[in-house]
Amino acid sequence: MKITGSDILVETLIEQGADVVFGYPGGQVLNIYDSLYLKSDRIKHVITAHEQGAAHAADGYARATGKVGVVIATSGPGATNLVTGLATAMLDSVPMVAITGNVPCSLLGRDSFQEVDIVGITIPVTKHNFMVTKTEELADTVREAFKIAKSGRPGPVLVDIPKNVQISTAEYEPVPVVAPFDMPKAEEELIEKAAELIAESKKPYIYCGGGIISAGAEAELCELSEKIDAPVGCSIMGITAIPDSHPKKLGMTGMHGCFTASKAKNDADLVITLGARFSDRATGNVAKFCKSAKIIHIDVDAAELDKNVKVDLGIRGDVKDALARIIAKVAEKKNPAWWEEINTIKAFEKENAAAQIGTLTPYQVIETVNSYLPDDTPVATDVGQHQMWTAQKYCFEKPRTFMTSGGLGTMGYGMGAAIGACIATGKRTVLFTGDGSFGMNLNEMATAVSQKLPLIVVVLNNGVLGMVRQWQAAFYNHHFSETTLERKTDFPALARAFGASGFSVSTVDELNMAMKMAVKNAGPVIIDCAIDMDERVLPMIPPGGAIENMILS
Amino acid sequence: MDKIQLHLSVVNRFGVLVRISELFARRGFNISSLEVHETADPMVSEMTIVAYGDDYAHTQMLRQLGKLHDVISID
Ligand SMILES: Cc1ncc(C[n+]2csc(CCOP(=O)(O)OP(=O)(O)O)c2C)c(N)n1
Ligand SMILES: [Mg+2]
Repeated sequence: MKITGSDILVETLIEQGADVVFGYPGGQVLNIYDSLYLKSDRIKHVITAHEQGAAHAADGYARATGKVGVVIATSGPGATNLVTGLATAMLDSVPMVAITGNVPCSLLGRDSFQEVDIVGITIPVTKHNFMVTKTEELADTVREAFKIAKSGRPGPVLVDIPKNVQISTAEYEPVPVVAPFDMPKAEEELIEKAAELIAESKKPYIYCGGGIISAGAEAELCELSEKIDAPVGCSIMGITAIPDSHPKKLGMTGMHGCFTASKAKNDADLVITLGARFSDRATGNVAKFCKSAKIIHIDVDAAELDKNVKVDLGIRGDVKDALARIIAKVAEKKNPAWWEEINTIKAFEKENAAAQIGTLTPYQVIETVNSYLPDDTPVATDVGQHQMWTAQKYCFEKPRTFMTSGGLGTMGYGMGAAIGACIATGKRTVLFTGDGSFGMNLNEMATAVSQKLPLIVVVLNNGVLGMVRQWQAAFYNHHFSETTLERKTDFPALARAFGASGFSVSTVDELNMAMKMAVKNAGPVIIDCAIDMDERVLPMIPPGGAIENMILS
Repeated sequence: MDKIQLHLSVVNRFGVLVRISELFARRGFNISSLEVHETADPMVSEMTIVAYGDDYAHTQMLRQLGKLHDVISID
């Protein structure tokens, strides 16, 4: 049967498993919104306050579930408002499909009203993108977009649909959910080589990234670490790959990573890197990176091998499959001397940990909030000191519970991501944000209220752009250029203005009281936590530094 | 700096040239010469790119180009 392009689009989205989509209407997507209206019993659309929030919500939905997140925007400004969301998803390898309307084909290239070349604009920030010029090609293009988004190393794909393509009709036949392209499998010879290196190693160390979570290889990761008795460190993207309570887990490494995890990585004789990409924030000075170790790197993306760090054994392939095969090949081993060394480092770290200041310290905020929430709570952050404190201190036990912008470092990511994760999981969700970041997209409180979301927004309010200020203090002679905000925002009043509830707290007791109410509240709550502006994120390896440059306190 | 010659077979679709040149620009590789030809198959074009770089650049060019959806093959 022939149906319109906009009906084809919505049917294809439903067919490909999209139960919720996020977006914002406008002139060039009116037909799509009309189809959504008529099919609203089969697909839910969530309108946000801003397209950026919708893009981050689709991203949060995808990170929380592993499904492809969908966002829809109109042409011109609607489409350009997606760019930060796409770039955020691109750098963190999040599967997303963005749908944009565009002016009719006859008006393309004439600088028509709200015409932008969104395909051209988003080439560098998408895995791939399409412009559909024929209604007959629409369904298959959307299917292809889903396929690309979720295959191999996931990423965002944009499909631009001129209005005439939405209006014209074509045949539509539903098809099943498209399978991803076959995952490349690691070569047997390389798997054997990896098993040999592991057998020879006295001080093995597993370094994991977000690739473990994308591949669903969490169980294999734990199994390998137990079988070869290796400690596990992670990048910020890999935090939920292995539970914090797992005895082999040391924690996050990198610029603000935990000392033991970073030092052990430095001292290991073998670093088994799984689905991580050695970003500069994670490695520090690459010339000094893991000098005493051989490095194995397993990644589904061949371009990541030897890109930032030259490795001894690069293996391209599905990390889940590769791990299962390595586990089958290696003998069980114990490394008591290595663990003794690690425990000494742990003890040293404990003794030298920096004390935090103020009546309510950032760690107290995170630990107190954490104590009220079950393990499967989705946790989102914005970007800055509060993000690092959360990564360091919050106890993550379940995969896909941490929504944070690791690669792009997008302030303003948190509200949208928390909304997306909350809607996707139906679970009470917490956002740790900063007073600066929250200011970027707090308009999405309106969305959280209209969607009646059980969302707890914890503002670590230091009155400053803390992360930038910390660098100014350390490297720019305390020239606090434009980082002291001097705002007078009354967050509880702001919450009320949006139709939400809000509290201001400055002690642990007050925070406990606020949390007790927050976990019973049906809708969103803002908890404004006053913390000291001079609090720093420690430890810290200065940019371009190595473990010996790590500032502990 | 060695001379690097890449022969690509790509989908003949508008925008393909932009994707490829954008990739080179973004990764900091300079294209010294570039030719695009039709092939017997109207869906497919051939491209010859000449650039200069070391082994690292060469490997990255091959692997990054290999990820482009519109690139069918490279040699
Ligand atoms: C969109 C965007 N603009 C600027 C930055 C640079 N930046 C990184 S952290 C930071 C400060 C964040 O302040 P706040 O949200 O209050 O967090 P805090 O560090 O104080 O916890 C800034 C400006 C960024 N990461 N993203
Ligand atoms: Mg702040």
